[in-house]
Amino acid sequence: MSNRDKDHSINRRDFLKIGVAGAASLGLVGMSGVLHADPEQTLVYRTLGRTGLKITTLSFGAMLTPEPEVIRAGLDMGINYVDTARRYLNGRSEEIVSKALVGIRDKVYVATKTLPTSNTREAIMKDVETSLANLHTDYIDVIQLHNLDSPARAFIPEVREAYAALRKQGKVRFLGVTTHTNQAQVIDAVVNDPDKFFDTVLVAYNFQSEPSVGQAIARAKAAGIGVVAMKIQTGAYRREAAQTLKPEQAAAALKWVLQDTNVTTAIAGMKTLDHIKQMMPVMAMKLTHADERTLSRYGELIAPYYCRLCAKCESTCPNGVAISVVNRALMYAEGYGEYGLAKATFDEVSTASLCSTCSTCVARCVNGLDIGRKMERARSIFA
Amino acid sequence: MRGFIASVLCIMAALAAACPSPAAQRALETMLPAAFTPGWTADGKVVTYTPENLYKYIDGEAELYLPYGFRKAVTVMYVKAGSGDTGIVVNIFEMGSPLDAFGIYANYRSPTLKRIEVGAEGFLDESQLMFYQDRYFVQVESSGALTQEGPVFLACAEAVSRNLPGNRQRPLEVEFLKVAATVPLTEKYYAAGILGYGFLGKGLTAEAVLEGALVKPIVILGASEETAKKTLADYGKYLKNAGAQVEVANDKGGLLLHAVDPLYKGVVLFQSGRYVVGVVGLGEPHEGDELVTRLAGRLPGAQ
Repeated sequence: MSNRDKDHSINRRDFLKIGVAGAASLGLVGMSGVLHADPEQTLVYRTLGRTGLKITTLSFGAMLTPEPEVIRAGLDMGINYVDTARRYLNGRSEEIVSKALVGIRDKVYVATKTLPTSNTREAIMKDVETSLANLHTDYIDVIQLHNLDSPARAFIPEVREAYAALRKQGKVRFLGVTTHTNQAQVIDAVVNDPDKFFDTVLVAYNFQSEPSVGQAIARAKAAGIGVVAMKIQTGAYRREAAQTLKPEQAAAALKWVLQDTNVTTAIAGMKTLDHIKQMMPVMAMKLTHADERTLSRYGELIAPYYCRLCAKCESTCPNGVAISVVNRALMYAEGYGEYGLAKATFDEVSTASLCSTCSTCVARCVNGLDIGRKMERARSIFA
Repeated sequence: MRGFIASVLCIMAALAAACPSPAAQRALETMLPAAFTPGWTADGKVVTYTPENLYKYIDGEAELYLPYGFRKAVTVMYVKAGSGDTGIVVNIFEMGSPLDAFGIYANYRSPTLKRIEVGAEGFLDESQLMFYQDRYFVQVESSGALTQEGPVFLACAEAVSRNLPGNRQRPLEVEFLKVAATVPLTEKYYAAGILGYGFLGKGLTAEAVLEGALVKPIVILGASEETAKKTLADYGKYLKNAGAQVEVANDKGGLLLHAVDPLYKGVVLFQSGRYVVGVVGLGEPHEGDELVTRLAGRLPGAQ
């Protein structure tokens, strides 16, 4: 290797601005409205309920971001709320966040969560001490009870004693809960709590959410509880959706969440610099009719794939075909491109051959999937 | 000649890693032992998860697994007479390949954790044990308060390991980063978006100490020589468009890039065949030249 002595350093913030255009020239960013945005002009803040924290409407979900440099880039662009958890990556996520916070801890609000299994004072204290060590910080801005599927855990006296003690010790500033299941019930329990113990709720909320969740969020806002939204793009775990999610769809999904001013901030899991640059400008954008059409089409796009595997249709099939398993096999084949796995799954359905004995499919899906068409498709692929 | 033999061995190893053995085609449920010493038995309720419902078990962390070709997971609790409410939970995740299994495993490990000799590699901490073997990633966790978890976890992990396919080698690609400067147990595999740049694709990183400073060696795994060259060109173009100066030159049959990446400071990358090796986090890009030469020497076919 020959030696060449050059100093090519450029200003980091300038790079983050210019880099959007750079990404566009490579075809890495698809939103024309985003390309020349200045991050400093796109920052929008809301108040996180009674905590009084002024936070950007786009937050950084650090759960799946492996590189601290990427998180730091988001923070340097102005995001000031980062969410992680004691559980994520066995604590490695908190360590990654700590590296991103070097030198700027006082400019960023850090939220983390105790382990879902920690329901004793001892366990919670231990969790928080571990999180503080992992995060290399003296305090956590928002500590949250992780993944409530009912209000019960939020009302365990020992849990509350531990959380209150941590706040008194100055190790945590504000208290919250997170939920994915029975969300309206959990939110309402926090809202109606006479002790007003919890300050924030972190909920799954997107354009496909049940209206009851939005209504509960409104009640939370009215009660002074800060609302943080997650799973804003219908849950990228749905791989078939993630593969088809275009930048304008992701932007529209974020806009949809933020147009609800009862939401303080939306957490986006951003693994690459491109993701950050796609999402940052959206804070300052309004949901348009075009966005609504985009979301409608996106909803339609994922609907044919999205068998909820509830198996309710199987009781309407006279031959008792395991339709949900056939649909899962189709999802493997068409959504994931895993033909071997799909065929093996299809072969598990001992009743599959009976499907072709009907001239017309009478099975019905409560969510509107065309079962007959999907069964026909499965036969053509796996026969 | 030595290079040829090494290439053949590498290809054979890669093929062996890519092709599932007969054992790998067994149902995942059968890889959970019925019992392990002393006196722990499965409670009989094996729960299975697939890509579309994994989130029900591990919440949004499921998103981490999908890029690594996650296929299926099984979980069961082991209990022992007299152990009350306590138990051992075992999760086996079937991933797309041994490299994928390493990749997901490496997200959880830390160089400071106690290493154990189970599977291809494993670690033990105070409340759990993890290891990977072949295309399987295994977690052993306590449920409730156990005493002396370590020996129990280890016995359980060994029993699971015996049931899993026999390939206990680290994936060939992980060895690419094995140079003297590399900090042991810091290698990671990214199935996409290495360094947080989507266009760089998949590859491995590690931590290394160079002149007393911590730097990050990387290997990008291209599909072909053309894609590797395009990856390097895309990165150079990206930096140029962002205002950074970039030097790209032909060097020893490959492309050599020096630049200062505002996120990763000094960077040197070298394309060799379908691979791109490099070092990021340098004070000055050329400080990494020697290390890159050593990394390039680890690639299949290198003399």
